[in-house]
Amino acid sequence: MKNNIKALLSRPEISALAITLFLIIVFSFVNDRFLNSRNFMVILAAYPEYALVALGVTILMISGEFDLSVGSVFAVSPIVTVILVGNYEYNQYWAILLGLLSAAALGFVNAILTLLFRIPSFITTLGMLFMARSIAIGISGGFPPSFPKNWDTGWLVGRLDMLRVSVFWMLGIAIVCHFILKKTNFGSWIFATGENRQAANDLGINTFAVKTTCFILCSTLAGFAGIIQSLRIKTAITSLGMGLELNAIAAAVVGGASLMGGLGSAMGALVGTFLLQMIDNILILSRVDGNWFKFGLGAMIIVAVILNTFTKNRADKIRLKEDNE
Amino acid sequence: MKILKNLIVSLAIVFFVSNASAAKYSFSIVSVSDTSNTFWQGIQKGMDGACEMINAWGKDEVDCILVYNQENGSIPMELRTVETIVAQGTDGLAVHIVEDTMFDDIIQECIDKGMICLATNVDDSEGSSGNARLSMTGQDLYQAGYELVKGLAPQFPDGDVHVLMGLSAPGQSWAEARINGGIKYLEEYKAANSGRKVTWDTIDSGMDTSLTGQRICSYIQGAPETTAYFDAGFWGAGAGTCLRDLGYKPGELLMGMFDIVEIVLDEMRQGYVHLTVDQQPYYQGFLPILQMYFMNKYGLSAFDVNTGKALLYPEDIMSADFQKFVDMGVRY
Repeated sequence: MKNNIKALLSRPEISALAITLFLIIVFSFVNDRFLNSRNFMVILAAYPEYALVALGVTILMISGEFDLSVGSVFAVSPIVTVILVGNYEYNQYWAILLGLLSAAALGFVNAILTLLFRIPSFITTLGMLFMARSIAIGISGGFPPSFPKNWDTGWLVGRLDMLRVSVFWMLGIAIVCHFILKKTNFGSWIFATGENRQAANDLGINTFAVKTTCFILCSTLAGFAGIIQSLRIKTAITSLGMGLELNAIAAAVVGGASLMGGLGSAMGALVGTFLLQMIDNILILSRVDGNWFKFGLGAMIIVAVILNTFTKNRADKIRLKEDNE
Repeated sequence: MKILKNLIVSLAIVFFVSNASAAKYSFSIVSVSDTSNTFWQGIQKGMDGACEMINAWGKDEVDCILVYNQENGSIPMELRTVETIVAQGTDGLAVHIVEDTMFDDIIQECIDKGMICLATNVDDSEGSSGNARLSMTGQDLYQAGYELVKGLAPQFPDGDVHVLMGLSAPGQSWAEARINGGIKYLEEYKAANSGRKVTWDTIDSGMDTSLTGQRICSYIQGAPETTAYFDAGFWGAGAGTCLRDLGYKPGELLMGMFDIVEIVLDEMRQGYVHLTVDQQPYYQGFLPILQMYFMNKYGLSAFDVNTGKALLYPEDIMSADFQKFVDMGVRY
């Protein structure tokens, strides 16, 4: 029993989960329309898209790097895909694969620039943020490409009663990422690389390959999320994903990932994203005036992070106390 | 870092302006938006069209450039661009005046130096008495917001009315002016319908199609009495998907917005968007160039054009010609 509690408290996402449950309980009393299936259907429609981006960002943060270009990569993949299907009549699976490859290529460039030239990823990916957005606009000629009519997108974003298929794609990917992080050598290498790269190198871990893989994974997940969003709302507008990078990093941090690397979890990315989506939803349901909305959103995020830190510290104390006993 | 960024931007502008000066006349349009704002591609199309037309006449060679902002919505960055162009000298400059005081001095300096400075797309809220610009080609934002709500009001159902106003970009004059114009009409509507309860809320609806859609649907499932939604931009069209998810039938929630990007047209065809205001961005790029050319060439005077009162209902967009012009980028 004690071991179970210890294991639970040591999980990075536990405080975000506790805050999420707390907000659900409190707000279900405040607004009777909050805890109903229709509201959760609204939240969950776009949730997989944001969660997949946060998942990639979290894994990259665990390895000790940042990616500020995910919002722009989020736009590139769907535009490539929609152009290939709409203008060149590609089979949709090939088009999606090429869309994902374009995202992966951008992730690879991020990795090479960061690791070979030893430039902080904050700077290289900031550059890529602008370049990738330009690519999205350039290849579409400035105007969003026409979304093909009668494109069967059900296997990716179709509705299954309350949920969309994309929720299951997200869950499947999150489970695979969780397995890789927790159960494989590669997962251990990611944590070791993020915690102390020199020490990891000394242990014989190829940290260059580890970080490169994480960069590529992060971009590919952002591209995949962009494709899902584009197919759901049936448009490939060039401003897709604008500003998404900061939300993804916020979700990763709220979900327990460390800005210093070496800490985080796939579950944390999902919980952190859900918490931010829920805060947005609560503010809208509370009819917060438009001019004060961002103040409310920012304040709630800060409160969530403070509660997160508080819960984490309490959990650490309880865990230490149990260790001493 | 900031100094380096400013230096790069200034050098780029100098490069473009000096390159353009090889022609007899060089004209610039400066925007506060970055290239991801598809609406401005329509203005660029109009600018390019005017430039090509003048060059095709074969009398003078004209160069035109639309200088986008590196950072979307950054007014200080746009101001710096204008200052650089004025310092370099230009035959004509059309500025996106999204703030009432910041551009006053530089536009005055531009005029004092004998250069042609116009406003396009957005003007000082006090018009010519607030800024020395010689003319305005664009939308009267406040009036456009007013006309949008007025245009859909006849379709409000009997009984109480509750309206959601989507303020896409709080603090930005174009969004605030449109929404305030809409609210002005709602106040008049309320006064004229004293027996009915007429209420409205304003939310920060955002400038992302998916996010805006999600916020609208969150709101209306919490406030199912909502009769209509009005957006300060086009992003509200993103609500079509989640409205269908929630089981809303076409017309159950009236929606009105701005511009004719593809997603708006698509939702109009499906019955989820009922009115859009076409501010005709092609004109906003085309007419300033034409004015600047004639003013330089023949000393003609500047003229104001309100491009933004075209109300489009679903039946207006169904013709093959309309779609053809959209595909050409002329109607956008």
